[in-house]
Amino acid sequence: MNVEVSIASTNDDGRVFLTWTPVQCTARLIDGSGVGSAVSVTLRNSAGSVGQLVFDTVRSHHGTPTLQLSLPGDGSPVRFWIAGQFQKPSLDFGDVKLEVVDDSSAAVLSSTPMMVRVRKNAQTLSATERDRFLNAFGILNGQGAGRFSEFRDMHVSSTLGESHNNWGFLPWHRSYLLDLERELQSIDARVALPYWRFDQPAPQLFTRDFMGIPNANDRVQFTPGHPFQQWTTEGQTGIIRRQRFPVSTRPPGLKTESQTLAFGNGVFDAFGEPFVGTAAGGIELNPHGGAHTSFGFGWIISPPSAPRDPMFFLLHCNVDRLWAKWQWFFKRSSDTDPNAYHLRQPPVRVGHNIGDTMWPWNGVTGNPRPSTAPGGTLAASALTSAPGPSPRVRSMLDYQAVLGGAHLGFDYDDVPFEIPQPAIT
Amino acid sequence: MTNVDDYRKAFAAELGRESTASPAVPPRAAASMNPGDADGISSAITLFRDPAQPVDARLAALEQVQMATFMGPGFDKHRANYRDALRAVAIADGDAQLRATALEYLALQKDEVARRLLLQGIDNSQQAIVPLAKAVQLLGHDDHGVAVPVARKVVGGAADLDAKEEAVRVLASDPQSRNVLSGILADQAQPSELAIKRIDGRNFVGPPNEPAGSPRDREITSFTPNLFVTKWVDPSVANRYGVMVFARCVTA
Repeated sequence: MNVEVSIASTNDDGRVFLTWTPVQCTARLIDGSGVGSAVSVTLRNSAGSVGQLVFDTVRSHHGTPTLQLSLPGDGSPVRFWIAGQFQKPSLDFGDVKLEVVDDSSAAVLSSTPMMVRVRKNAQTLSATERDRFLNAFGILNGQGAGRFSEFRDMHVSSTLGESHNNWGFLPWHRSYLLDLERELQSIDARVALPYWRFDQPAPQLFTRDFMGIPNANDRVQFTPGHPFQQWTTEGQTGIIRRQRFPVSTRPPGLKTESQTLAFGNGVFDAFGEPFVGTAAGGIELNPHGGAHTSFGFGWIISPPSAPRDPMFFLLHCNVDRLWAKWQWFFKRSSDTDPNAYHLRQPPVRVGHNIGDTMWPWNGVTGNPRPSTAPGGTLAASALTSAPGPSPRVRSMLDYQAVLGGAHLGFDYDDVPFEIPQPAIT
Repeated sequence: MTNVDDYRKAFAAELGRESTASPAVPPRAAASMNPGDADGISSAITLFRDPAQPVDARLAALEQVQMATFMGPGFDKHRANYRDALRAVAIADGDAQLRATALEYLALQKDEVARRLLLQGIDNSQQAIVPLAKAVQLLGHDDHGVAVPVARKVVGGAADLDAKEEAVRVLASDPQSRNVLSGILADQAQPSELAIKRIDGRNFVGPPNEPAGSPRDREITSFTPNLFVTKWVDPSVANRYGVMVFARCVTA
């Protein structure tokens, strides 16, 4: 007698990747004793698991490490929900297994390896996780011949109106990161984009083994064999980035996480206010703009050149995490909530209104959009149908599907999944 | 197991210490607000350009303006003013650090005045605003058409190693400079990292990150306990150096 488990979050190669967001599963008996002979089983984490799983019979944020089910003897499936246990992510695929155990015999009827894969603080990555990410990113760059060039082309002078200085700054960059992350996962499915938590010191990040240390000419140095040694953009190999603040400290002058999230008291029209020079503005000004310029010099301090430096993506991953955490805390996932996104009339520039599709994934070119649309549609995922090839601004809000529907397939290590009870007003 | 409700309460306590009744203006920007300068950028550019202000204040103002460039199109109305301020400071400011920083920022924008200043400094070190290595690097970012001849001159001259490295990087992306690069590798007296590589039964020694048999490799044509014979893969280099024979001499 065995149990067949089917999990919604399964890759094309049959491997299961989970986040904190519950996904639907079924379990059914194989070679059971027929109608009337139900078997009582318990779902549990395998012994010694690194990542941890939680289970529930309904979609909730109250999953438990074990769950008892009664499986009909005729093989009818029984539905349940599975998620990664918050703050217990995996380090590698297979370091957690879902076991289905016969309650009467204690026999393991099924064992399914999986990975609880979430975006983590780069400062905390293991050497293996770090190298896995760097390796995938190096392959994506392909010494200048890889698909990374298309990501670079999405963020140049002539395209900045699509992504900056308007309400869509946060959703556009969320889509940009998701697209890049899915490309990395097509190279190595175990990879999740790490974030640079720029309001804290990150000495592990600024090393030759990770994002490098510049020499006296601001040319970033790596250990021999590092995947970024041959990093090439626009025909030039190497990365230019000064390190103006000591690596044992954080950049000065940036808002802390708490200050960032507290700004505006849960109102998006303050928190996400488009950058209005030095006089006002929410997250786009500080800490985002300040994080970019904190290095003192290098590609990363200038908008058209910033994505030439892979550090750009770790910086923006933290910006996105801050938005995600704000959304969680203030319960701002709904695309009809005027506190969750700018919904006031009149409409703003196309690409930034809640119902607009976003360039370049929509393929739209010509005034007022840029003249080309590099990269094509947004990368698909076998784990989820969202957000689709041409996402709208609204697609980026409820990334965890706390309000139902399909999630976007990523989570942050310190932002839980929580189905909102009455919203904070 | 982390309880989400407890996690929320703890985070709420943390936020409660920071929450404000109304959106706060970042303190650094407050001084720049005036009715005629709603976004503070013009004031910051003026401060940056003012030689009567302390250098630290001018650098801070410069950083604020550079942050503002992330407005994208929203910064367009300030772009000419910013460029002019950078040019003025790079050309004639009394503070060397400010001149160098202004020149670096201008070069990031691929500015023609920056290009002229960099070339002047390369031709005449008395007029250099940034070190030679940085000048070559910035030119390489700007325009390869300008940078390549400069890089060839630096590589062939008596420049320091840092400058030569930057020059070699400029040449590395120029298809016409392949032979120059092969020659550099052949000529250089500095140690470089090499690896033994094999393909189709042939052995090569060369840069580890390039496939076996690449133009910068040397093929090991013979190897005995006392003799090691190599030949450059690149025909032009091989013509210049011929077959290289290393012999181990027996000690007396």
